[in-house]
Amino acid sequence: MVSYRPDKIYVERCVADSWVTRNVLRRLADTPVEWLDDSRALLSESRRLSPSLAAAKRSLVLARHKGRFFKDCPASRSRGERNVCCNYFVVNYASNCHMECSYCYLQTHLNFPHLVVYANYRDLLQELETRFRSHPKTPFRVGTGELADSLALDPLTRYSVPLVEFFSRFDNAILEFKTKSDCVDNLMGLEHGGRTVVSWSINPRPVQEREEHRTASIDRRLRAAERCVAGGYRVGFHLDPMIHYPGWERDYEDLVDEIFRRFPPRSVAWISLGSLRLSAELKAFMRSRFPRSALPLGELVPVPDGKLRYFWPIRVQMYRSTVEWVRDRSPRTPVYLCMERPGVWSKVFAQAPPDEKRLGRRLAGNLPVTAAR
Amino acid sequence: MSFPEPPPALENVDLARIDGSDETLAITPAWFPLGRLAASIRSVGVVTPLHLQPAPGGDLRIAMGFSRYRAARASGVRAVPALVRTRASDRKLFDCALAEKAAGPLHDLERARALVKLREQFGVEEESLIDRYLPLLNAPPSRYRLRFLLRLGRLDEVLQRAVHRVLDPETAFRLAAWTVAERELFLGLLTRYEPGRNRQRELFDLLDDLRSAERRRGSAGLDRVWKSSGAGEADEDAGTVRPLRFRRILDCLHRLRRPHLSRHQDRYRRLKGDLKIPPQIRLQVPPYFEGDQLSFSFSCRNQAEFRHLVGRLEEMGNRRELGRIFELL
Repeated sequence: MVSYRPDKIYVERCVADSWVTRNVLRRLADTPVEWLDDSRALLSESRRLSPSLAAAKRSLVLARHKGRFFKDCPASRSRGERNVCCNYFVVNYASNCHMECSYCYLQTHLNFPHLVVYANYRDLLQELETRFRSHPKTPFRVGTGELADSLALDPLTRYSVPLVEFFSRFDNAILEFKTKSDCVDNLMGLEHGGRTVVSWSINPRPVQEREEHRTASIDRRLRAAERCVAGGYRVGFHLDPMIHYPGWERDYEDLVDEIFRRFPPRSVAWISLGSLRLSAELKAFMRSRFPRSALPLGELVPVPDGKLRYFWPIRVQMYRSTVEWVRDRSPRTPVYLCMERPGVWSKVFAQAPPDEKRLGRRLAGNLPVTAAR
Repeated sequence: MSFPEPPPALENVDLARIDGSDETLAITPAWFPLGRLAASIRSVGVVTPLHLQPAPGGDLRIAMGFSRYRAARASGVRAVPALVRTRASDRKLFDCALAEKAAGPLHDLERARALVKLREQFGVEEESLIDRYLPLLNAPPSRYRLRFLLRLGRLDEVLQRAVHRVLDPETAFRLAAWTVAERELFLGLLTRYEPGRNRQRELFDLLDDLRSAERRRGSAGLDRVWKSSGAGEADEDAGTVRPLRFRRILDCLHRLRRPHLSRHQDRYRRLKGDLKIPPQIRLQVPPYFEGDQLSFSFSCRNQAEFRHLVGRLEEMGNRRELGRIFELL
């Protein structure tokens, strides 16, 4: 992965004393810093000037998150007929990503083009604690990779440290980091209590090389995953977005094979599958920003959730094959589909999709309180 | 924007003394239709004076009033009222021209041309274009808008003319990457079939995706797509009426672009045909077969007809073809 080095750091004065802020400023001691009373002025300025995405990402903003950190996963908004929800929750302690995946939805999703880290991590922990304690019987699977890569900025922020230690204190919650980086140094030696899963979004090497610019190579991701397993963590793999191209079967089967050659099944918490999905706006954006990408040329059709996806028989074929490859190597590893409608679930698994709470419990329950070390 | 020098005296200037080909300060493209201006000048002459400036060769060049000049020439007028500006710089005259233009309705192509000139001819910084000139041109002061207008202003004349006539600007930007022959093919289709904006985009997206895929395979691109899809043949089928021909062209391209979906649709049509559904019963699949339910609706005039349709529905319910249609979802 290409490490992130911003050209400038903007810091809201109200987070000047945050441990996260101090970490960043210490590690980027040579980078110019501008202090702000409120980063919202920066937002309106960037709306007016709308700098290119690449230019805007060269500024890092350390701000206080003013709303709620803890939210339902956006997939839950289209739960029901449109999508099966797996009862996942997200906390957004950062927004935007310096890596450049051609298909990344953040390119058209965020209205604030800079990289932002919300440094008031104590507020985040407080909010989580209140939630977990008030629903002691609800299993919470909480991810941090919705609006940013979970670990790509960790060498600067060390955000993972208080989070992992915090989750180790709760029996009803699991933290999932989702990343395309290999930044796992800070996780080593932490008391995680088996409550943290480190997951990699992963694709065959040719896809990574063509489409996932500035990310860690697949080799580096898998090596980082091996370090995590050696450190007692369980790991997850998200084959998402799966890409349909001539020869995909061989490449994806090789990838599944490599995962289970390198990782004992009991160390793999789950595998999720999802296929390429683009909004029409993102497709146009990709065509101009990544003109060499072949992804917009796939057989995509509009689906009821408003996105473009591969025509369903293609998706089903990809999922079914991959599920079989996983089952052949590890029959008990949970496999689920991300953002897919019930009809597709039924065709892939040859049974009706599970009720979302049951699915959430099944995935969360797959982690024992005491993790396999 | 005040005059930079004392207002000059009004003169009646012979058109032969004016070099209309010097478009240094022009905002409206010379090929823009004159509309009602020519008729107005024919009836009452030029009412608003042109602003002229002595040119290096001894002639006068136009600072403001290009359209009035062209309309006057087209109407056979020999002389026009004018103010000859001797001391103002090009930039100041251009600012005055912009202020005058902005008082009336402006086409995006005029805004675009003005901004390109300010940026490239007068070296105005982008910040100043956003803060000062976009509001002057009645456009929102954002970089996004500036980029759009600069791209528009940098399109070649063929594409600008097409934008003025019929072409969607976003399509024009992408069309600029095509070869001259490919562009001619697309613009020819627009002229022949006059599709609305949505159909135009649909056609362009199909052709652009197929062209990109072909070029990736190292072939000639659009020419091959056009022939191999059958769209070329459909286009030349003089025996079919234009709307149907256009529909067939789109269909040929869709088949090539989405082969799995096309096969699915063919299967559906075949099965639906085999079911021999009475016209009072409508069967609908979800768009692109992305959904879990078929939809049936029917209408009838009386109880006997209702009973008859229910019977037909029951009969359909036992047919193998219906089960196969469900499997398409």
